[in-house]
Amino acid sequence: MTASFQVGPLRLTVEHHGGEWRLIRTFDGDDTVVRVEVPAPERALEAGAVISRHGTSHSDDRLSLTPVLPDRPVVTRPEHPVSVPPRDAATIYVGSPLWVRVAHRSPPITLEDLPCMAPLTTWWGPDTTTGELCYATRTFGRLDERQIVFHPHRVITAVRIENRADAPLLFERLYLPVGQLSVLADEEHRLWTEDVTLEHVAGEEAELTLGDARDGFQRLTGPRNAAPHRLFRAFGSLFR
Amino acid sequence: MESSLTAHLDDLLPSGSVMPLVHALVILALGLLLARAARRAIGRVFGRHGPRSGANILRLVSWLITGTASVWALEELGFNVGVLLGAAGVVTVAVGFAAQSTLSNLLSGLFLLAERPFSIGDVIEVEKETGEVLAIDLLSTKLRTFDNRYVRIPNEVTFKTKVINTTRFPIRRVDIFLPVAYETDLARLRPIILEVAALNPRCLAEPSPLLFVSRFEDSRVLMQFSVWCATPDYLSLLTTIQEEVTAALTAAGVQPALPRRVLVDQRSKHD
Repeated sequence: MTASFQVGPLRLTVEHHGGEWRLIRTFDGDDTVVRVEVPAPERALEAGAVISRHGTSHSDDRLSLTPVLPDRPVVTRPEHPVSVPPRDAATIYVGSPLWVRVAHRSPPITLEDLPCMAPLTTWWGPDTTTGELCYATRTFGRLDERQIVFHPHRVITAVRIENRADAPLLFERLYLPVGQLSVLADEEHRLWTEDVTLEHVAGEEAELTLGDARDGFQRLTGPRNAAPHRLFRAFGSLFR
Repeated sequence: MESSLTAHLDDLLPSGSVMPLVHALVILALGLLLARAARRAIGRVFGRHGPRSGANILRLVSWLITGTASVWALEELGFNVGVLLGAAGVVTVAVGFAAQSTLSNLLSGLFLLAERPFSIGDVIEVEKETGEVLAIDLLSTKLRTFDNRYVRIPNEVTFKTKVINTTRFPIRRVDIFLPVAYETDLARLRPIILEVAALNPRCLAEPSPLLFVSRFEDSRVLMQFSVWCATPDYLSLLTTIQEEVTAALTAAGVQPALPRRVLVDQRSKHD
């Protein structure tokens, strides 16, 4: 059995031979395309293709691909810095990279989680000694929902930023713990997460509150880690 | 049963020596039990820092408890411990002079344990040796070098000299030096090299890559290209990015800086 999937830049060919699942992937696909082909078209192995092999004793050739969020927090860098006046609020729409969970059998057993675009890693911390590795993403940081440009390999989160401080909140980076979020689909099959509220009181920290899924949205996958809402460093300026 | 055991011991030992012997044995047993309990407690406290961390403190506490119990037991048996300890003191001074470096290593080991400049599993540089720390014992620190040699460094040396811990922090910077000719358009060079960092998945987006003129040399400009990566990726990034930069510069037609010498013919100048 062979099958080929494309989700934006990710082009994935899956082969099932006896006791082996073989996943072949590249990130050279078109940003706007989502395609499934069974069986996979004959194609020579491309340069730069990454192959992963999974052995199994099961002959069941059922395969599922599920949209999931990345396995690390995402740091979004809006095209231009954003400012929220004191005692005011704004909603910014940010896109996180989509990952797919490749699973076989029923109930599904995960073979691998794959990013739909080449992951870009960044450091999130006050200095180079303390912090954590995250995925970096660039976004227009739209403040108007009607202007959002949807891509199949991105999941949109509406982040409401409530500035409770007496000074304007200016940020160039926004940290989103996507492990706490679910993947939802709207009626047009576009991918979203729950709406998020970041309540800023002082410094660069904020408290995260998850909103409910909007009406008409279908939950595709739950959060990776259902951690309680917490206070964390959510805003940052350019790392120097 | 106890009385029959005492009676049996009375037959074997001089009269009146049974009870002190029983006391001494009880004290020794209690001491050993206490030492074992202390070892477990210390193991639990240090266990979260790694399987072998705290091993020396554990040994020291165990020896102290067992030693105290032994001295007490000897006292119960009628030995004059004061005389014994006095003799031990003299012996200790004599041995101390003889084993000065051993004691120095021992104390250095204890200080290293207290200061914790590195832990087991860290990669450190000491005395021109670089390797992974296998053990921090009372007298020496053991390393496994990258070419798989076993290196024993006395703790006195480790304590006195500069130690570089290359895995202490989660991210590291890779510095590459690029010699370029004076004629090279540096403004054109910048996007070519920064693109290499942007395409390498091991390079961190932030802290941002740096590219700047390090110094001017006789026949070339030395550029420094610095990129950050997760510490475990350091070696693989160091090896790949140099090849990628060279390939990108070659593809862009940037000529390598070659050594040159300018000869001025003074005669033709005067003619």
